[in-house]
Amino acid sequence: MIEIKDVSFSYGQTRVLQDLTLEITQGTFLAMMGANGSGKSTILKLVNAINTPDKGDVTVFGMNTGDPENTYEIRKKAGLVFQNPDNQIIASTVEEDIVFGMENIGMDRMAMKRKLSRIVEFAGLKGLEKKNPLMLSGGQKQRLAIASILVMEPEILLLDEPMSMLDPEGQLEIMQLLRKYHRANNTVILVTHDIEAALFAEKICLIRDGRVELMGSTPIVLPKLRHYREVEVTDWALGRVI
Amino acid sequence: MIAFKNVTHYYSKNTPFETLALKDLCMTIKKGERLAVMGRTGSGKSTFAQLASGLIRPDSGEITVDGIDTKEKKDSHQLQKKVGLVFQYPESQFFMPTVKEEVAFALDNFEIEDPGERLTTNALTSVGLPARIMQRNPFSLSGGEKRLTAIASIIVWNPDYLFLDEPTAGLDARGRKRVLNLLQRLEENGTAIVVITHDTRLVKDNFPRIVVLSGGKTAFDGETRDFFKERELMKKTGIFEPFRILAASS
Repeated sequence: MIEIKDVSFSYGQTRVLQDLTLEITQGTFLAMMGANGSGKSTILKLVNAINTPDKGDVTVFGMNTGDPENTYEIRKKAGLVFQNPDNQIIASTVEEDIVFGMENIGMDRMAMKRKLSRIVEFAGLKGLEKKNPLMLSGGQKQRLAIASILVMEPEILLLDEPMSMLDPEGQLEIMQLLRKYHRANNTVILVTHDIEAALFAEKICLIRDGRVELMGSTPIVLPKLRHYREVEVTDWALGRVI
Repeated sequence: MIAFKNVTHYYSKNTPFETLALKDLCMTIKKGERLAVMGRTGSGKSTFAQLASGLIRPDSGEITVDGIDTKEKKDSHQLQKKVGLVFQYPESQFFMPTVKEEVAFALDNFEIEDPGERLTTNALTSVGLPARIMQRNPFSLSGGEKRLTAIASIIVWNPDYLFLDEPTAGLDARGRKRVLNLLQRLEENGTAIVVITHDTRLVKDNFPRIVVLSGGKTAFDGETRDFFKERELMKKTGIFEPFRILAASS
């Protein structure tokens, strides 16, 4: 459960969010849309406790992100994936990258091995364990970035346009992975400009002028998005919901 | 005209990591032309753009830009002025402390006068960035604003050939439209536009010519509408609309 209540946030003099309120229940697949600079990425960073609000509260499973004591637990529960997987991959083999987070918290070796083999299977990375991440395709790299987060078993996955740099095969692989993860009652928040990707979410929210402009189930919200210039609603996407 | 003659390029040549990027590529790009380059990740698209702009030099074969051989170091300044390249990741391009200085840098570099900062302001306005962000640090911008700043910092000096690597990635619909309108205007002024992209919809609707690369070779070079009739070739080269495929399978 994520609760964002009356949150305002600025970068220096630039106000990004203004009294924003948003509740996301556990197990939701939410597509977050909005103009460039509307504050979508800022919301993800607030949930992940990278940023804390200037005003208002953000709580993740009841833990307030403003309390530094909660930061570690919140980041364990809510993993954040960036647009460019190269910003996230740090080790010289696929398996080293996946186990990095577990090694960091001093996890038992046997448990680590079990989790590694499970996540490699889940993310479709079997056979690539000894490969240098630099040699992977774009889709494989992004799946590795996601696997390295998922191995810590977060219940919330926050993704900031994870598919915009990938080729069509890579995009398809990521969306299939997200759907599989979501089916296990996990929360997915996907920031995207692509209405055809948003179509696969249960809910869509539109951020505008630092506030939530629209929020609701995909078949209800998607047709309304036609009235907003920052979103391109294709006939194909519209045809899927009406 | 840009001409590639039997161009081959490797990364990490003669090391255990040697990777073939392009093999015997032959093609030409005429002034004022608009074309899209597509293909899987790793098919050689970005290498192609970097070779054309003289950022890297081919291992074998020859690339000429209006007769200038990109291997000739003495002509590199002239070459850089002719060919502009907007990088896939805008951050790779930024190094100045403010948006304004970032956009104006190339003018300084090419000794182009900018009385009253008219060129700098025009470049920012034409990509739709508001004047208020001129004093901001480029790294503090949102993803979409960074991309528009990167485009502005190249079009400011009006190169004859403009290569854009994933120019619409991360842009909202308005930003996307603005970039497309801008490309149209530049083309009308005689600039050759080459986009490297995975965005099938963008290419179908806006680019008359398509070059498809596969494993470093040309799999297709011709009219876009002809390529999108070749279902087998589309499948073989990995070009499709992913979410429509997903919808069809679920």
